[in-house]
Amino acid sequence: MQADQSALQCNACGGLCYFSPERSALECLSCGECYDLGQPDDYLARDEFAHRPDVAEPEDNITPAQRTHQCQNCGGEVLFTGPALSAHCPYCNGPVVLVSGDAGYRTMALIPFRVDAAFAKRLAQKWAASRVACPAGLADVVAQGDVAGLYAPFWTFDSDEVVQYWANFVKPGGKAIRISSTKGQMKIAFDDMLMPASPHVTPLIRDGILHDFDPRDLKPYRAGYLAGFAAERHHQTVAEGIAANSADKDLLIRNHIKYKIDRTGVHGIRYLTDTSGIHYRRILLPVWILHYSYGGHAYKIAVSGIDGRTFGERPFARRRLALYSAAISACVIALGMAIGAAAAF
Amino acid sequence: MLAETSPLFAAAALFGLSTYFGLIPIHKLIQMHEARHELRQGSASRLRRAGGWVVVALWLLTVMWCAVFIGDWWASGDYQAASERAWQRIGILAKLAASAGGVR
Repeated sequence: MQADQSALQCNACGGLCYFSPERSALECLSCGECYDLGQPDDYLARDEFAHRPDVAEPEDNITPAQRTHQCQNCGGEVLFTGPALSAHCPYCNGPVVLVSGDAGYRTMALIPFRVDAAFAKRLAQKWAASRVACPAGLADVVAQGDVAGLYAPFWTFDSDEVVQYWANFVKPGGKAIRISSTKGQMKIAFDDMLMPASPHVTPLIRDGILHDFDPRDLKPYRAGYLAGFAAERHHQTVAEGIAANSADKDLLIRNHIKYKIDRTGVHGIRYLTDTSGIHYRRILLPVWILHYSYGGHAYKIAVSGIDGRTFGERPFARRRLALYSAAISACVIALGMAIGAAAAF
Repeated sequence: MLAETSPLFAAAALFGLSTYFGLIPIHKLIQMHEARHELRQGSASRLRRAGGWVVVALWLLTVMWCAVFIGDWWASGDYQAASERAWQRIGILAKLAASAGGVR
C-alpha cells in the first residue's frame, strides 16, 4: 500500500495525483500533468477464475491495508486512496474513523469512473425532479446533498444450472377453477451475473444503475484508478459470495421456470438444481452516491460512474398521492356505476 | 343501515373511502412503474418490486364491485335485488382475480 501511495506522486513536480474521470487519466493536483494508466495487457482483466465448491482451494492473497476507515453508523469499511479523504461514509453519510489492519481479498479488476462529481449531481437532481408524486422542491433539496464517489465491491459469476422442477398452475375453462401440476427439466446458463460483494451494496444499486456492465470495460486493479475516491475491499470468500446472493439466484431460477411453463397462475414451484462451471471475478464498480434528507428521513440516490444511469430513494407527497387516488377512484366508481345501471335493466 | 341511505350518498362515501385507502396502492403503483422503467430487465430487484400488483388489483376490484352495486341500486331503486345481484358478481370477480394471479 505504501508503494501504491508513492505511485500517485507526480513525476514532474512531486505533487499528489488523483484519477480524473473527465480525462480518464491520473492528473496532478499541482501542475495538471496527466498520466495514462492504460497498459497493453489490460485485456487480461477480463479473465475469470474457476471455482469448484467440492474442492477446498486456498483463496487469493489476503492483503492488509492502511488508511481504512470504518463508519460509526453502518459499520462499512472504506479505503481512501490519494488526496480524497472524506469525513463521511459514502454508503450512509455517517462519520468515519480510522481503523487499522483491514484485511481483504485481492481485487481482480475494476471499471474506472467516467462520470465526474458535478455531472453526477446534476443527474441526481434531474432524476429527483422527474419523480411522480414527489414533494415540491425536491430537486432543490437534492441539490444541497453531498455526493461521494465510491468503488463498490461486486462479484461476477458464471454458472451452468441443470434444473429439475415441479409446479402447479391454474387451468382455465369451465365454471370451477382447476389446479393442474407439471414437472420438467431445463438448463440455465448464467453469464457474468453481477452480484453485490458487500451487505452495504444493495441489490437496488446493482439493478438500478449498472444495467450496461460490460466485462470488456474492465481494467486491471491499479491504485491510480482509486486516487481521489473511496473504495470498499472485498471481504467475502467465493463460497460466502455465492451464499450471500443465493436468494437472488433462487428468484431468477423461479422466474425462468415460470417462463418455461408459460401457463396461467403458476405457483408452488419446487426445484432441484445441479450447478457446474462456476467462474468468478472480484471487481470494483464506480458509483456516485448522493445523500440528502427530507422530512427528517435520510435518502440516497446512486449514479453509475460508468454511464450516469441514476436510481434511488425518494419521499412521496401525501397530498399528490391523494389526488392520484381520488382521480382513479372517480373513474372506477363512474365506470362501475354505469355498468351497474346497465345491468339493472 | 345502508339501505336507509341514498345511492348517491353511498357513492360519495365510497369515493372518500377509496381515496383514503387508495394511498397505499397508488404508492405501490408508482414504485412498480419506476421499477418497470428504470430497473434492469429480468433482475431480482425488478421481479421483487413488480410483485405488489395484488394490492392494486384488490383495491380496484373492491371499488369496482361496490360501484357496480351502487349503480344497480340507483338505476333499479331496489336495494334487495341489487344486493342479491352483487353477491352473484362476487363469484365472477373471484374467477377474475384467480386468473389474474397468473399474470407475470
